[in-house]
Formats: sequence, C-alpha cells, structure tokens
Amino acid sequence: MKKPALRWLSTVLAYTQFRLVLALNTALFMGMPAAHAAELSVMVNDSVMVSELSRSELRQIFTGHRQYWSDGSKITVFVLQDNDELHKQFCREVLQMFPYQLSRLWDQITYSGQGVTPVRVTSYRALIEALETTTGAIGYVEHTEIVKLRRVEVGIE
Amino acid sequence: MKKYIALALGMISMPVLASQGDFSWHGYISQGVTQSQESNFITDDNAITGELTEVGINGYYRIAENISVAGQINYLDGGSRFEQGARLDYLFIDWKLPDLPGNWQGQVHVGRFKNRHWLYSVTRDVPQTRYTSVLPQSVYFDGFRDVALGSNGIQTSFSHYGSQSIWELNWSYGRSNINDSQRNFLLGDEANGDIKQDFVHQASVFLQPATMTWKVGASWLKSDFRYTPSRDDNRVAGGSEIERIMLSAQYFAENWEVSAEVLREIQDNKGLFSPDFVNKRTGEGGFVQLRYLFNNKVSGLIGFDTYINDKSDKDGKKLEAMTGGVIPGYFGYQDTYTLGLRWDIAPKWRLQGEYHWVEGATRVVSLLNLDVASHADKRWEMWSVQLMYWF
Repeated sequence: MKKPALRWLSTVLAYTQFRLVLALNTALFMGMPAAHAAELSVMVNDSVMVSELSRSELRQIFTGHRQYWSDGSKITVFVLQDNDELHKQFCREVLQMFPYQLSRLWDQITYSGQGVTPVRVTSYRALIEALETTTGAIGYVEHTEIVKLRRVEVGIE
Repeated sequence: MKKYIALALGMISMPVLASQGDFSWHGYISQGVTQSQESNFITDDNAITGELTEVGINGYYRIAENISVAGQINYLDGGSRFEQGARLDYLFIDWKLPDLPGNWQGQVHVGRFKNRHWLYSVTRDVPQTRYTSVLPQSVYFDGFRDVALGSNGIQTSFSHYGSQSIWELNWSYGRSNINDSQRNFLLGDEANGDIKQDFVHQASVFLQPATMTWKVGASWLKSDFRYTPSRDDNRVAGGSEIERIMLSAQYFAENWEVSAEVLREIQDNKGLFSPDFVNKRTGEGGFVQLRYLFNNKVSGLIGFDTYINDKSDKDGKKLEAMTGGVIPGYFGYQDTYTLGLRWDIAPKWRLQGEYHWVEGATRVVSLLNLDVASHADKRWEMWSVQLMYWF
C-alpha cells in the first residue's frame, strides 16, 4: 500500500500526463483530413476467435509490437501497398496514423532485428485471398465485400 | 570479425532448412557517387568517388513464441568517413518477457545489439531509413560510428501502450571493439597502441501519443576507454571518459515531418600524451531537419546541424591561441546547412541526393593530428547521389 503522499503524487502525475497528451493530440490532429467516404472493416481469419479490438491493440498489431493472439497463435498481418487508397484510409481512420509513419516503423523493425513486419500484397484480391487462407491473419476489406472472414469491431476507448 | 560474420551467416542460413514459416530475411544494396570539396572529410584532393556503397542482409528466426534470434551483416564504404569493410551489424537473442503488470511489455537482447537510444541510431547503416547519406555529424559522428552503432552485451526495452500515450524505456550495458580509424580519431594518427572500451552504459526514455504523431525523448550515455601504448609509441598509457546527454523530438504531419536532437557531451582525458596530462572539454550541438512530401514519390529536405568542440571556446580562438596557430580556430566548431531530394522511382527503389554547405571542421579530423590544418578549409562543401534497392 502506497503512502497517502505518494498516492497523491502518482495521481497528479498520471492526470498531468493524460492532460498533456490529450491537449497535444487535439492540437496536432487539427490538420488531419476528413474521413474517406467509403467504409472499411477490419477482418480476421476464421481461426481467430476475436470480435473486438481497441484502437490501441490494433496499433500494437499493425506496428509489429504484438505478434501473438491471446490463445498463443501467431498473428500474420496483411496490408496493401503504401499508395493504395484503401490502405491510406485504413491508416487514417482506424490507426489514425500516416502510411509513411507505418512504413518507417516497419523498416526499423525489419532492419534492426526487432521482429516480423506485415506482408504487403500487391492487389485487393490477393489481400482477401491471403486473409481467407492464412491462419491467424488480420487485415482490412471494403465494408460491402462478402468474404469468409470474421469482422472485428474497433472498440471505443 | 570474420568468425562473427561466419557465425552470423550460419545462424541466418540454418533456419531456412528448419522452417520457412518462422524465418524471414531481408536486405538492401545501394551505390552512390560523392565528393567533399576543400575538405578531406569524404575524399582527398576534391576527387569525385564511387566510395559510397552499402550492402546488408539480415535474418530473423523465431525459435519459440517468446525467443528469437536476429542477425545482420553489412559491407560499408564511405570514403574517408569510416573504415571500409564488412561488419557484423547485430547478432542477438531476443527474449520477449511475459506481459508485465500495468499493461507493460518487455524484451531483452543479449549479444551484439543495436543502439536504440537515439532517433536514427537503430538503422543508421540502412540507406532507405535515413534522411541523408551523411547524417548530422553533431550527433551521428562518423569518426566514431562503429562504437555508437551498437555494443556487445545486454539491452532491455520496456513499452507501455495506453489509450492516450506510449512510453518506451531502454537500458543497455556493453562494450565494442575499437578499430584503428576510431583509435586515430581519439588519439591522432601517431598513436599505434591498443585502445579498448571498458564499457558503454546507456539509458533512454521516449513518450508518444497513441497515434505516434510526435515523439519526445531523452537519453544518457557514459563510456570509458583505456589506452595501452605499443613499444615504439609516442603516446603513454591513459584513458578517456565520455558522458553524453541528449534530447530528441520528432513530429509527423500528413505532408511534412520534422526531427531534432540536441546534445551535450563531456570528455575527460587523463594521461595519453604525458603521465600527468589532464584535459576536460564539454561539447554541445544538435540538428533540426524538415522533410516535405511533395507527393507519394518525391520529397525534399532542409536541415541545419551545429557542433562546438568546447562550449567555453565557441569560435575556436582559444584553441588557435593554445596551439600557437597550428590548429586554426575553425576546427573548434562545425555548422552545416543541408538540402536534399528523394525520389521513389518504383516500389523498393529510391534515388536520393543531397548537398551540404559547411563552415568549420571540428568533425573532419582528430585535433590531435600533427597536420590538422591541411584537412579542411574554413568553408567546404560535400554532396552525394545514391541509388538504393531493398527487399
């Protein structure tokens, strides 16, 4: 059990950090473009027993910082090329990041031995096929697409 | 070095046979043309050269859910900036710790690991991950790159992913082998004894919002070197302690990004030139770089980098007076202005060019050489064009 003074200090520090990050985020994201008109969904392979992931969890997965599902099976991430409009939309709307940020993180991971990075496929058809046939796969598809995949809700934080 | 590279190749190739699914490998190759004018920083006598080559190959093998082995070897040629040849870039066991309380994650690297404490240190030798082929010399000083790149020892990293913020804490302890060119930069060309790094101890902390739109951090380094003279040496036994404190910041917008780092380093020399020699200096510097993305394929860069060898002698006048004019004052500082252009020709292919205007030369040559003044004019320039491919 912490002493009252320490409890008070840790509460103040946590609140200060929260306010700082929130204020900077709000200020810095003023320039973010509006959401794309078409809708997309985050999808996982049928083998993955997950129906909801928070934005934070999705960022960990797509930036290579989380590589296993909670049941211990391996996560394989599939994405489209950087200049693909659906990929850009996914980065902006779901991850709230820029595609070049993700590319840089993946390069850092790949060339410094930090782990395995997403598989970049060259077409939308290849993306769906990879998601449908790869155990533990996660990716994104257009909302209207009929696929044999499990839809994942993006949780509100 | 050869045995390390053979070991790395063995470890990289062995798992291919064992399991395709848990093994991945990547690489890069780049070739450029470069020149330094009125300075020996890259080339002598203003020569234009193709000595701008970087080739690397790496492998990553997952042995178990939480244990992996990773290695990378590379070949570098940067003209006079550093020693040409093959290197073991990294080779370590990566142990991912079980999830820690408070949503913290941790990992431990044991072996030869990369320096994760500065913005660009972790992939400094990977051309497509850099803004420019010559990084800001205040922080990423080429004369000492092999020591700064990584160490043999242990590194731990802890990260916390919250809904609003991401924290990263890094700590490492190890040592590096010091080659002759790095020894010469510390002690001058006349030194021919043996220099060893006793240890390098580093720690850093970084904070990002959950969206990773910006990143701020602070790092600390302490290292100790010991020199043992050879029989026919005009240096004596001694040592040098270096301490570095640095602040780092990055911001990402949709069409532009900016990064900056500032440092203060204290170097404390004892012995080396005479048994009772004592010298302490505090150097300061930093850089800021802005990159603008014109479109998906083309981006431009402007940058400024500055370093003062001794903060009590910003214009180098004391240095000049102390050496009776043998070392001109402009060897006490170095200011660099940079323009760069990047063109992504096709996926995984890039052409990158840069031009640097420099005043001062404190990062060009060891100030302990006999003929310091002959290495650079007060104002000099350098440029490069580099074609790169990665996979």
